[in-house]
Amino acid sequence: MDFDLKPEHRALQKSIREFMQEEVKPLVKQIDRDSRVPDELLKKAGAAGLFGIPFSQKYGGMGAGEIGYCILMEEMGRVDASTTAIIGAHTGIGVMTLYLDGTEELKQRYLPDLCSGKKIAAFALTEANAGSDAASIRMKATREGDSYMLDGEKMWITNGPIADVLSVLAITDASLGARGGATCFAVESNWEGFTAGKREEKMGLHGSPTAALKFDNVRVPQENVIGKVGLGFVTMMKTLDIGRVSLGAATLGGAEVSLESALQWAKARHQFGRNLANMQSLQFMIADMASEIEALRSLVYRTAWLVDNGRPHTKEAGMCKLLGSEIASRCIDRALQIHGALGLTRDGQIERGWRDSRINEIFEGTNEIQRIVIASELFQEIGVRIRP
Amino acid sequence: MNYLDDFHSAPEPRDIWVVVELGADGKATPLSLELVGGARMMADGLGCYVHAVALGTDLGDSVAELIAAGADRVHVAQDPNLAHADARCKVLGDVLAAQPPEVLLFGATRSADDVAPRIAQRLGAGLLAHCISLQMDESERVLIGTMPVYEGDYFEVRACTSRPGIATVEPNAFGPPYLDSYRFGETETVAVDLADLNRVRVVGPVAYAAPQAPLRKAKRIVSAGRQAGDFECVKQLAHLLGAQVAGAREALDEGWITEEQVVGAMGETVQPDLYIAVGIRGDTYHAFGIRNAKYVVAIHPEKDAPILKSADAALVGDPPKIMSELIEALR
Amino acid sequence: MRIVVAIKQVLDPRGFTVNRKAEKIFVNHEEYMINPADKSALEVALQIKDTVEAEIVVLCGGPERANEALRQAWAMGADRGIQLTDKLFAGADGLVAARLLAAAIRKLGGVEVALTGERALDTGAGEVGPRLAEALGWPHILAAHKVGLTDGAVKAIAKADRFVEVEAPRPAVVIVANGANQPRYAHAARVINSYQKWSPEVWNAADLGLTETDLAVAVVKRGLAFPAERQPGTVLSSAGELVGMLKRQRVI
Repeated sequence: MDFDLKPEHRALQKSIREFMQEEVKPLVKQIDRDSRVPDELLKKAGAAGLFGIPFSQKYGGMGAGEIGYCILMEEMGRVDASTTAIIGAHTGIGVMTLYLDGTEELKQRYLPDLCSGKKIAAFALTEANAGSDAASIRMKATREGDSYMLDGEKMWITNGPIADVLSVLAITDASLGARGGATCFAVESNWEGFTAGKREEKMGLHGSPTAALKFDNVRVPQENVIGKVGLGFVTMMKTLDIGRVSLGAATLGGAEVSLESALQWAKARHQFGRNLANMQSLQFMIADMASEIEALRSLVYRTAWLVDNGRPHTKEAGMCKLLGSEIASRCIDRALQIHGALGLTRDGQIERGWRDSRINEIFEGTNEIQRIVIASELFQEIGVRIRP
Repeated sequence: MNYLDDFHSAPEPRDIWVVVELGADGKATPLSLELVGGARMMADGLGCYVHAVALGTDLGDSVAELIAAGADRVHVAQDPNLAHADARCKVLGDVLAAQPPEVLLFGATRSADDVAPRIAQRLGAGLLAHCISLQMDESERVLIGTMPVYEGDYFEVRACTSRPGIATVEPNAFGPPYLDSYRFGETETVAVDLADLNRVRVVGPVAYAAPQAPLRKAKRIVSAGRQAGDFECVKQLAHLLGAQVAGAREALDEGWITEEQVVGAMGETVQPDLYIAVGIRGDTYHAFGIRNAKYVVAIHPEKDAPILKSADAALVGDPPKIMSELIEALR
Repeated sequence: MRIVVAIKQVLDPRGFTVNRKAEKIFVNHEEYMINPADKSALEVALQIKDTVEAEIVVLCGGPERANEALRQAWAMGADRGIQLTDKLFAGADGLVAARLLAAAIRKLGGVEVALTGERALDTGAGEVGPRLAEALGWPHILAAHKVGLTDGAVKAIAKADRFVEVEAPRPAVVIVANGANQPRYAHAARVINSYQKWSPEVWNAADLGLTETDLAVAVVKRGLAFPAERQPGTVLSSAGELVGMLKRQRVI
């Protein structure tokens, strides 16, 4: 078993780490405060080839595979959650839908610009009444000649306000509902009838634009169907599946810096005439953090390896997201405690990570859903079919 | 040529040559005199002569000084073209090709950066550059020099086994020379032949703003705290040292610096070669920001300020007064 | 227009710590990188290529791991990478390095500008650039910050005690100052391809027509020395004393 990264992945990691240190890190405070990731920064990221990392070079992607993509997400997660969310939602689920199930023509049409960062993608599944219960979406796609008219609203869509191309799920056959009667479409945001609502003000991830979307009879040509008509739900679930692995990687990055910050502060701070590093209670916190991080790292990269080698990975992907989000939250919480008052101050840089990490247990499929997915897989392995 | 192989039949030592530079006052620089003194010591050990060679303008009084410092012969080349490095390379190379040295010394100056390596390559010689100490191992007849690597993180000791051995030497490697005004020496004029030289043309001075490194990468920082007193003085000191200006958190409150210039746990972590903390008491939060600084100087009026215990060098007193004295001493 | 960039692979200082007390260097992560000044030199070459048609050939002498530095250079946008590897090159000093590079440049032929960084982190000498110029019989420009091409010449803004504009006839060696620019990021696709779809060419001593005599070094490493241990809490009595101390300890 070779646990080392291949040299090209190591080189990619070094390159991305430098980009994050030099270009993104100096801006994190500003991004959080102004609730905006500067366009300049996104352009630079595009020029460095960070918008299409896992996709085949045939379509303008970078050809680094899921492992390469997890490396990107880990490195980004170490520095800024907002920027990670923009590129993560774009690549991991927005573009991924097209990549997995789009026709060759659709891929050739959209992927090059999406991979170069010239265009941004979003994944539009969730609605006001359909969160975890994704199957109860109501958005309609009515056939009209050689197009579909999309009508309805989506909610909580990451990148919604800035997306050029969206992967959207709508009901094409109301009698069948989402399972069997939903279709996935590639929709361009400049088409008539599409509007993005105001940017939500969230607890964290301030720089990641999230909004409700309105589709007011948007005409979508039939060529823009992603996957098979009626099987859109499967396409979306397949996409979310893979998306979970890289989210695990991003949370891994966040957990790592929490540990590193805690170590540095413990080394620097003295109270009661002793270094904090000599306090056993703190040592235990550090040990717990490090152990969880190590376990998460193995899980994430092994799962990425499963993906790159075409192996089934649904169960493991769910575990990546479930454990990743909870481990990251625990780590940043411990780090905050270790930093004391400094951990609560905006200038201290810890509290932003604390606010940014909460969403991980909720989006991309809540952790409750992940548990159901994992349990379903396990029971399926022994022949029991459970329904959520 | 490595003649360690025929140690017992080592040839007669050739002479020690020193390339002399002139300061703005037209006299030989203190570093040049120091090198002549060092060459004298080496020459006495080997039993050979010391030559000083000056390329540029008339040395005048300096000739006597160079002889007093230990030069047996002073070679002077005079030509306006010698203001340019490529001309100096050619002329010096011609002189040394005709009179091959045992050892050739340059002061570690910008001019030497241009000239010494080219001379070394032309003579097929090794070069010990930016030596902070240099000696001749008389038994092996090799030059041993110590020079900084990784921007001074540590030093390497190297031996130059070629003949000539060439070195560029930093100030204070040899110490001030012993000046003996009774010493006798000769002068010689060097012919300047710049034919066939592919000239580098200096078009003229230009106003250019080199990109400034971000604070976290600055090599030198002068940082103000609540007791700094006179922030203009802080800026002056920084300018003189080619340092960036920063401050502890309270300097932001005083309105002296911007958010980006705050050093500490609530600001930037810096790693300069030199950090001068002016009027900063030095609590944990500030200390965190400078934990990777290579050399910390602290100036504070209170002798119980925490920073004074951890600084590499501390001065207790009125910061504006100390800053002015520092500025004077540095000029 | 053929432009050569000579780069050196050095140990990344972020991977080792210097213990002054123990007088030892502890290597925590043995990582290598392109010498920063050489990377700036490569960036200069790439900026020239952004504006005129140019072929950038990167040379790197070293053991087998030098291929990583070349792959990174190619990923940044260089056209060709040539690794100069041979047992006889081991321990090469400035004299030998310049001969190696000059031989490679002569073998390449048609080179108009040779760029390199002004100082290698691990030797601190700053000698290879001018040495290379002498070995080739070309003029050189030292401490260049901005470089451009004119008719038959190379122009640069260089730093002596202040900034001046200089011009050298081509072919010329241009030695780029540390921190002259911020090198670009390699495009991620090229990073992947630098391993999966590309390899540097490798030339040895025989390819360069160099004999053992040509490659005999003149400078050998004898040992290490360390700065004095830090003395925290040293209180001085005057500004003059401080300046003396800073100079003695070579802080200024």
